Amino acid sequence: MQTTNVETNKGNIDPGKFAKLEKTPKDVVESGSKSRSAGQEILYRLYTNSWAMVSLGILLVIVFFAIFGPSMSEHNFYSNNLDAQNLAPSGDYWFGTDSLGRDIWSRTWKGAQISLTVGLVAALADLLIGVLMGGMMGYFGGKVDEILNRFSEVLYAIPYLLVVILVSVVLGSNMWTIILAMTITGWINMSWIVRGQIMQLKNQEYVLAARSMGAGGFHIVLRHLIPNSLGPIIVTLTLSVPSAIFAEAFLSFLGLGVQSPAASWGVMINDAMKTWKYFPWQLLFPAGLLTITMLAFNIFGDGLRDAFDPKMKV
Amino acid sequence: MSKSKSDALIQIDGLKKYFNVGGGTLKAVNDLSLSIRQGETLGVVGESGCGKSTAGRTILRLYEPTAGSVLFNGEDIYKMNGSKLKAARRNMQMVFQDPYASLNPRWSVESIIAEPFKLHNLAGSRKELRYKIEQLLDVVGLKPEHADRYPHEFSGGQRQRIGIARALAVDPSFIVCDEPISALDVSIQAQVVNLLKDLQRDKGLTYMFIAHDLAMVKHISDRVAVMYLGKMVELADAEELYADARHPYTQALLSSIPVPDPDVEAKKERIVLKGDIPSPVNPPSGCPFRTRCPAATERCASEVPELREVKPNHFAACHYA
Amino acid sequence: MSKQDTVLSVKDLEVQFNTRGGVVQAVRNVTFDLKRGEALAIVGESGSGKSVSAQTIMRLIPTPPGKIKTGSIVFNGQDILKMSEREMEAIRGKEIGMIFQDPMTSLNPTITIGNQITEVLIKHQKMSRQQAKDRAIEMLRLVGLPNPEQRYAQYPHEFSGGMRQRAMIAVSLACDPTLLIADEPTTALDVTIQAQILELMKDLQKRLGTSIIMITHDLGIVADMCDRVIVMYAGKVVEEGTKEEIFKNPKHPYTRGLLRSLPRLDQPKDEPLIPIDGTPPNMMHPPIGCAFCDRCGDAMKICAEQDAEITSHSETHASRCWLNHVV
Repeated sequence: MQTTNVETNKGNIDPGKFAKLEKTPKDVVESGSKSRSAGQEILYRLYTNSWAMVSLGILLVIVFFAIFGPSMSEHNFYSNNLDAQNLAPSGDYWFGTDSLGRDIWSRTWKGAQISLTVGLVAALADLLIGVLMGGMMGYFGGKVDEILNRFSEVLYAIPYLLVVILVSVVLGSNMWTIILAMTITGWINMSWIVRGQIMQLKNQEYVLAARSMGAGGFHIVLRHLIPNSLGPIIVTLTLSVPSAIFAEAFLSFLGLGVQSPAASWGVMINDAMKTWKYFPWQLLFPAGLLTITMLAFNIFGDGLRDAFDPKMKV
Repeated sequence: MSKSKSDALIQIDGLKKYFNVGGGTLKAVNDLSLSIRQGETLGVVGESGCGKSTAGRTILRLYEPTAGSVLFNGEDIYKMNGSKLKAARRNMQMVFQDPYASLNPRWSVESIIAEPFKLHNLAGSRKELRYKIEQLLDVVGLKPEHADRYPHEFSGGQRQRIGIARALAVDPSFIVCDEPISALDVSIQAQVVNLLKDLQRDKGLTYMFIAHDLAMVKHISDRVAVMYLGKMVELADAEELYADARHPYTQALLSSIPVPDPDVEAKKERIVLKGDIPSPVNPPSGCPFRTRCPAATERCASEVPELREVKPNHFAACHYA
Repeated sequence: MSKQDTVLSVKDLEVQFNTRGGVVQAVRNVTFDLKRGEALAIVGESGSGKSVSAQTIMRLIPTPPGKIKTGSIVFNGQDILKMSEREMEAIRGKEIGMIFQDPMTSLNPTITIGNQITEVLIKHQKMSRQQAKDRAIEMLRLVGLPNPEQRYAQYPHEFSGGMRQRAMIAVSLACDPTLLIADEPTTALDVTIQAQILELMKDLQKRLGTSIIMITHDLGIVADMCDRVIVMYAGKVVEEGTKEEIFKNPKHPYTRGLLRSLPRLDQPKDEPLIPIDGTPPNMMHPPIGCAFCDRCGDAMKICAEQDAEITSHSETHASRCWLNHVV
């Protein structure tokens, strides 16, 4: 009926257009957009961040050479060769030799092994203890929080070098004592981050909803609180790896850590210091790799942070 | 009273919930007694800090009470231990205010609605569970394939539907709706309210509907309780309360709502209360409302008014009601 | 209606935002006038473009990501969109005041309430410190704060929500602006406090003759204190008219739906609410035709294909709907 007498101010519209629109029910959710979980979103954002991906690539290359590098060269990392002291890089010694005639290529990648091991093991130890302690502080709150918090504050107040020296006096200087010494105080930062996250999340309504459905504490912590704190945890983890690597190099440089003939970047840099004007490659390779590794970890960590929380991006 | 007691699903007696805050005790719920009847909707209204949300959460034992008892089907839920309480939780569910905060952002809709099934070991096989979830989505007006989506892909109203589906999952008889529409747009509010009413009719649900929108509360409720500073100041049938409010606070509250009708607004003599809501940490002596009450007398400062039946089934806590 | 009676004239305004996901077309082709001493309501849901329109008038849209694509905003004979930032600063706070939804975040927490008012007065009115202080206390008294002398020296956190909103009104009215823009000024407040603030605003408008643009989603507030109403949907004005015209004779299906979906205190309990089905469109890809078409019960074929022109129903009443073209 409506179609028979139409009057428009444009005049030229086909009256048939004024027939009732037959609607096909539309999906309430935007169609076309692929459904992505929060995790997939994060991976996608990380994947499209070229700086982070380049850093990841560099780290993978370093890991590859740390594993296979030493065995690629026919020279091992510990044998002195008095006929081949302070040689420049060549086809035989790819990175040259040091003052005792040891192969810098093998030593550098052996040092990478130690650095990466220290970085990863120390970070994992921080993660385990930090998440456990922080989780308890955040979830229980009250007295538990207060006691654990005081305890960590006391630990935090002990000078870190003192701890390292004490531990190495008691247990001797090697890689594992460094890791132990770093872990004694290293977890505190992680625990505070986890504590803050959990405290904030445990008042979210979905946690209350789970409780109203009869969920116990275990379920809530494991299924709701920890997964939703993963972002800051992973970011803190990624950023604590380079600081552990640097700490190991620094302590070994001072002679408090890994001891010669074991190869560590810190030891190598210390050895090369005396003669770097004459044999710069002895310093260049360990110091350069230390720098690149730390930079790559930091940039990758930043990329992760942006991927987890795009609002933080500057 | 005897009749309402007999068919009461929930019997709340002397309920108190205090919080320790810096500098004192916050009496969020201060001596609340009422019953909620099988199949009815009890509306609870009041302004921020009146304790309405705390009351809802304490009744579900999401907060441990300071004093009092809540009988659910004749059993005190505060005396129940772990497994019994968990079983009781199947019957009492909650729909939350913020549709953005009440769904775990990392979970798919399927996992969200599956959670209550899994917690109560009702999941059955994967296929059965999926079927139940799709059924629930259909009940709340969503589609089966939405089970694979994530909360951030839905609008506020749709998320609230997901929250309702989750609450319905384990077939509860009582649902506390804690401001379920406050965060939604006007044109969406009516959708959710109609859904809640349909569900009540189909499943015989009992609701405690907490809100600050009095017009919406009147629309959905059979009886309405008005709270002020942790106390219930008036309780009556919805129609009765709006037609003949006895407590000066209820009268002011009713007259404060702007009505979407210019003629009504033009004629209305609005009661504008003086001053602010006092802090519940340090409430006034006597009647909590006396500091803002246009009709307060000396008696109000010294004597706490008891809730009394001013008319059949109409209760008010005012000396002069 | 002589020309000088028009305080503000917005014409063909288009504002968009560049986001990660794409371009959001927040305001599309908005045109309206505001007369001296008039209270105009802009009504709409979240995402309808009502707040963005208001912020554009104050030039408070961050650019980027925001971008004012076309249009003009003529205020007292000058185009705001063509002004330099410096000229704009002279208008903000002096000629146009603004009240925001959350009084806590719109007052500076580290400056006393009194100094927040005197600062504006000293900057715009070139008053001496003492003059400004007297005026500030007078303003605090005007907005109904008890003990204004004492309140003058207090910080925002010492105020309750309602008192903060009163203080915010005092700040925004201190220089006697021609226009006051209130963006959901009572949404964060309790009902009885809302009533206080609305009474205050009505009273002040009567006494000071300020023009008001009230952004709100609450049709009750509109009925209470506004003269004229603009209804926005998906970035466009879909209906415009006096309060009586909009409430008694709504022409656009969205306005009608909005009014029908509200429960009324005099409504029988068993009568169900009539909701508007569906959800508002995604403003990254607004529909080609009428944006309300998907949710409209009266939609016709043409509605999905092109948007309607504005049709006048009276001198003050107009709407944008194809139904107007069907006899």
